Amino acid sequence: MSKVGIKSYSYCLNHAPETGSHYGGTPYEAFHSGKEQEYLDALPKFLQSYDHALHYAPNQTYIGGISYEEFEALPAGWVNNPLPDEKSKRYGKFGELMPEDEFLGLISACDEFELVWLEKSFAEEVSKKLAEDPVITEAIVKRVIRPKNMHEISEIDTEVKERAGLYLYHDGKPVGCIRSGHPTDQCLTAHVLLENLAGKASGVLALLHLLKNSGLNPTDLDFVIECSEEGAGDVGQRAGGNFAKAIAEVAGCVNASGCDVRGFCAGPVNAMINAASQVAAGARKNIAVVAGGSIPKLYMNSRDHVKKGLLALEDCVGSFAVLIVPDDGTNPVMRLDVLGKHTVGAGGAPQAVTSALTFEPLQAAGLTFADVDRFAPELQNHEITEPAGAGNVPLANIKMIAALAVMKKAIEKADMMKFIKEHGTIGYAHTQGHIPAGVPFIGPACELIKEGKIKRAMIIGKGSLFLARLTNLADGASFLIEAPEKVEAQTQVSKDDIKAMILEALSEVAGKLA
Amino acid sequence: MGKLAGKKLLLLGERDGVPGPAMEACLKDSGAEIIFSATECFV
Amino acid sequence: MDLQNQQRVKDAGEKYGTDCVVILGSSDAEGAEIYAETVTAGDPTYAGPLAGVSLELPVYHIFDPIIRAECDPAAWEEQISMMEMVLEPDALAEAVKGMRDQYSKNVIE
Repeated sequence: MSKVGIKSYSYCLNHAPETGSHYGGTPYEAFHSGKEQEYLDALPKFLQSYDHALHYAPNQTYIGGISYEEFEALPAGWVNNPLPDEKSKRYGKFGELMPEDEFLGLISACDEFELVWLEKSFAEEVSKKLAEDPVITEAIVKRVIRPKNMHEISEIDTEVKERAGLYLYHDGKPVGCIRSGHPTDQCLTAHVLLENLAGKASGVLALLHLLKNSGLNPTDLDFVIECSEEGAGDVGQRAGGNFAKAIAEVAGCVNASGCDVRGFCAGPVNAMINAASQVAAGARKNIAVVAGGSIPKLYMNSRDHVKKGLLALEDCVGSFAVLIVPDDGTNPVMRLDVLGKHTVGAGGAPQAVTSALTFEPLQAAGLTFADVDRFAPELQNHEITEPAGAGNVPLANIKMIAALAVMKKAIEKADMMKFIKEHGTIGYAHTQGHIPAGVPFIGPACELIKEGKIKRAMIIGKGSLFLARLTNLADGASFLIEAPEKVEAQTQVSKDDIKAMILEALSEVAGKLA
Repeated sequence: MGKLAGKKLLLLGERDGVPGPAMEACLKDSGAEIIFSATECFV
Repeated sequence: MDLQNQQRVKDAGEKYGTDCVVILGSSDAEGAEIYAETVTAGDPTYAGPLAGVSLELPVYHIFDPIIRAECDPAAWEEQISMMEMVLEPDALAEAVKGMRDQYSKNVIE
């Protein structure tokens, strides 16, 4: 059986309310259409402070400030039940929730083309704050205060007003700008470049935390696969890519190479399968699967939040990284012999998709639904989606699995709710497209496996290919994480075994002599 | 003839609900013309 | 509702009037209600092409018994039956009916 070890994982959030309220897809569109002034005027009143974001249980669950089990036990209504201070720290077991000013500094540090200009005193201030972050290297801190990235506010004003730049804000004031990369190329506008550099910067943060969590020296990382939904390129090749290598460079992984894998929200699961296959084949020593987050997805549903007088919670750029290594019997493993694969011919009906991603691989492995302790299909936070009329997506998905289990006669219909409660997962991820697609649970699943609380989890990603107007096909992929088989059991040879082997060899020799 | 005979159908599906193509498959023989079928995703 | 889809509904509504029947596959009753309002009274968010445009189209959820009865039973079994267990069919159909009763013309009985 082909399998690889999941050695380590990291999950980070970058709080970005001011960037999001200006450049998130929904507010940015509303600003340009000129039709929704009321919403745009109201949005700033519904932004969440950094302190509130730190006390928000789903955020702490994502960065590992509280365990998934603690999260599951919390009462409903997380937004009105802030966590106590001792559970609301910036750093969690998996990563961190970085404040927006430092994120702007990190974005600037990730810029190679003088695209980000920060006002001098702001840059100096955030570089000092970033220096306190345990994963931010000295080299990165120095990059924030490169003279070419620091400018007077008057120069920044000119860049925005005369050369199609966009302001970057902190505390309601412009503190810098992102410059346009080309006078006519629509793939290199300031908005596109901000999106890409923010994706890169958040990916860097996740990779740095992964290196810290795993203890791996940056120079020992062999390969990076990046799997966000961003497209970096120019007019000739709109999504040419390589975020992976760009991220590895800033993180000091000089011996690594990398490439990007795309597939909307199914990208991360496909990237995991891709990485695991390369490691299992011996093509790479180790691979970090990494994704940064999305500026355009910030405040996607905020029209509805504002209308209902609710806090607009979609204010964090999410990121994650997972380190895949050969299976040595010590880490939770990802199996490659049973993968959920949604074929072209499978059809887009939810039951066809759910069957392809759960029932079929389980059947191939000789397993049934009940053998999977936890299913992690989509992990969007329902406090964000429900007020927007989008329902509780994780619950709907786990219900689909339960309903399919009923149809396949694996469970009784009367036991559906019990199955959902025992085998489901509750969503806690930001609506960052690819970020909530199953992968946030890789960390908690591995923790639960290491603690001996579960044996097996299934990670499921589903993609909405129709968004690109290329095809109406559904999409998705899935894989299983299991407890490692004890190495001792495989390799330890008992005295009896040795005795039997000697006897067998002797009888062979005797046979030949006769 | 069914009640939808001669009608023009506009199918607005949802990825985590009932997607457009699934509704299309169920209604293609209803006697109505399917003008378009779309699927939306909120996450 | 997605702006492009609003435009398609608007174009069809203007061309064929209330001979158009809108059928929704929404997962959430509140979401279904907003969509039903959009294709009858107009876009309540005022963001899209249907802002201030009352098409008054007959609108149903796919789980409405009237529509279900017109569906191919074998296709229903294969494509939709599982979602009947997952979603709340009655609540969804009712939410859309509320809007239809208020704003739709030329409804199917």
